[in-house]
Amino acid sequence: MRASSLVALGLAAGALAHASAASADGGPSDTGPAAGAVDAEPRWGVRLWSSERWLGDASMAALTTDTLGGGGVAVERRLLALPVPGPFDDLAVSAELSFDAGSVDGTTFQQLDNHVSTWAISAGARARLPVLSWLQVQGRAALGAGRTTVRIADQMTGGAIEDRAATAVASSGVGLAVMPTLRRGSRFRFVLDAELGYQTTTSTGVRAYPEDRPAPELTIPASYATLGDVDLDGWTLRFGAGVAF
Amino acid sequence: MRRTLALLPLLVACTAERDPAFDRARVVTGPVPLKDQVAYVDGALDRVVVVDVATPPAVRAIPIGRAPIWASPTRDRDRLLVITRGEEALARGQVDEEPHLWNVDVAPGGAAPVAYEIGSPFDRIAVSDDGTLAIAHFSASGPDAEGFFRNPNELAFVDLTRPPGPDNPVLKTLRSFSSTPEAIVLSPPMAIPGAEDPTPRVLAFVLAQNRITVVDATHPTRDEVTIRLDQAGASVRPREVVFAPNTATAYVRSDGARDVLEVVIGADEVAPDNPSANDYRPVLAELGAGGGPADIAVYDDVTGRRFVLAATPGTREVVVIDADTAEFTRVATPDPIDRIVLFPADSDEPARKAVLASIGSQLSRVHVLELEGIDEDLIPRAVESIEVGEPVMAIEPVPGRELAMLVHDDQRTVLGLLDVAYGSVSPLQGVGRLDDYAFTPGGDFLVAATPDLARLGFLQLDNLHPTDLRLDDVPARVFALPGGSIFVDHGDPLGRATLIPSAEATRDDSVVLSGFLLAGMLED
Repeated sequence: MRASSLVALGLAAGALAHASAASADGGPSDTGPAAGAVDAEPRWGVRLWSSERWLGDASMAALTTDTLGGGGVAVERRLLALPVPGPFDDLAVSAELSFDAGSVDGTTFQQLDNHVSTWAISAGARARLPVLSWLQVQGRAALGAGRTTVRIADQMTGGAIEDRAATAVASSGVGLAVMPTLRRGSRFRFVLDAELGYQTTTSTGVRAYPEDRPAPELTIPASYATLGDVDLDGWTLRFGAGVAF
Repeated sequence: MRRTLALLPLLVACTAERDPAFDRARVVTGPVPLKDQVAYVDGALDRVVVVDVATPPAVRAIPIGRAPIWASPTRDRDRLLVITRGEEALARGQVDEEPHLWNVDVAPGGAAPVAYEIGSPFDRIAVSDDGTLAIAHFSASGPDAEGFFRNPNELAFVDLTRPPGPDNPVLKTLRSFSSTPEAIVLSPPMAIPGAEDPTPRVLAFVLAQNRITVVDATHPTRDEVTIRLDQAGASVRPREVVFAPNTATAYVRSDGARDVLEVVIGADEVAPDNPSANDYRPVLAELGAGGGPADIAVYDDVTGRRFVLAATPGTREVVVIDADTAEFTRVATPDPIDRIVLFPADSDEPARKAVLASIGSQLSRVHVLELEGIDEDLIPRAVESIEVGEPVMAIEPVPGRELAMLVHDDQRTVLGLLDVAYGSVSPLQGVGRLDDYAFTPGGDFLVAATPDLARLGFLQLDNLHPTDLRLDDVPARVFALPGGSIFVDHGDPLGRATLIPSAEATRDDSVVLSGFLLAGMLED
């Protein structure tokens, strides 16, 4: 796991401790916000996160043994609140637009340096259910499109092949969000969250296009070998921080 | 928090398992030119990658066993023989596998590879001319360091026409006199005159310091015959064997020997109580070359009689030996000759001339010996000397023509083309270092390459007209394939080659193949 994830994890732990302390000092009820507090719920949110993706496909195992590390940014807008039976408060549903990117390096045959990078823009929905005044359970689903690039370079000669292709992306996740308030009745909140999810992408066909090859009209007609498809599907773990207002 | 962290091992378990092949150091053997294909043997992915030079070109991968050590094509270049070392299952993903010899049919739609368990990790293969027999053996440098015991005198005889079985291959250890095999030469199929079994058979001549061992490779369970070469006390190292199959005779040239050794394979009575007894016996004779032959060549004249030429630089002579009668003729040469090249160079045409050169002395002249009627007393026997202007360091015959390329310096930058028919020499100017070259099958073109220049040089041998073909990448190897195509390998570990359909083709006619050594790497 990357250092950024550990930092985010640490921030989340700190916020949790802070929220617990605020609750002990007479903050909002531990059993849920008071009636009518929905109006004080934030409407907008902006979050940054760091993520790791455990790649589950054999094609990526050929290129690397590492996780795909990255990060992203999202903007969300609260749309509605749905009543939930039981002791819980309303379920807050938001629309979310996000951008995320990641990359991973690896070595094959003790000879080839591989680099796989990807980015995606997604739109989706997020639902949060308060379980404590400062703690919410959240779920997310999104669809999007992006681009994946694969580069394979020989260590000795420096020669490299590179291919890229557009991909469709679907992702989902569930997690916990810590949203402590700084001031009673204020919509402004910090958000620290952790999410376990799964991301699936359409596979990317990789062909051996030389990185340094001149324009086709200047070169001998070429045929590029097909290496196979790269599939970036995998379980993800995200740690994020942001603000809601 | 603790629960979240507890998820991490579960996530790691969701990661796809990596094939151990991707962690191996990768050694690619090749390119190996075949008939209409060029093959590479991938030592990490355990496969033979075959590039078909047909139009359009195609790339195929043929799986073989673990850890390829050595690959040799059959003489007709239809098949590739590969020795795989196998492995012991000592780590995850490894499997126990014995050393095998793989007979790989490289033709499109060819048969599946056949694996013969050879028992030891041999690192060389000798293949008979007809492609029916192969002998796996250890190189002169010996077996690798793995394992407990290794037997450098062990051979594996493989009958490539039969499937693997308890009697195929046959493992055999040669009697040794403290030396180990350095090379194996297989004869063409030869019938042994007078033998009860008239079937032609292949004999293996195993060359070692101070000895030659003859094994009936067609019947490898029979006893071998060892010929000691050091009876006179001198240290003798056999270097070259040529055959006269019509008379079941072999001629051996050795370093440290005074003469050419003639080995006549004659019939012998078979001991009825010894199933491994041979039905032949080698009869030895020293042919009167005298002075220690430095090169030998063999040819059949127009009547089918076989002659052996032996160059003896010590006596400044070339000795022409009638292989049937052992009569010989001495021809004096002005220089100490150590290289004989016959013309025409094709084995299916009777040789008419021999070009004689003194490579060791680096003299600037060569000599031509007319071979027609050389055994007739009334025809004077003399060589014609040709001044070539520069020291001769190598001489290469052009297939199908009475031309020879002369190399005049170590760097292979100064070349000449010798016209044997007219005795003329044409210098080839303006060429770069000739690191690799090939003659097209008909002998129409010399194709040359040097790794400093992204260009192929063509020399039309009819009129010595030079042309170039600009490449997109610098060449590493160049092959002129029997079908007329020219294959240029660019030495790229990812696989890059330029296929040129003929010597007259243009850049637009050509095609570059990129990344073929990684083809399918990401597929399951």
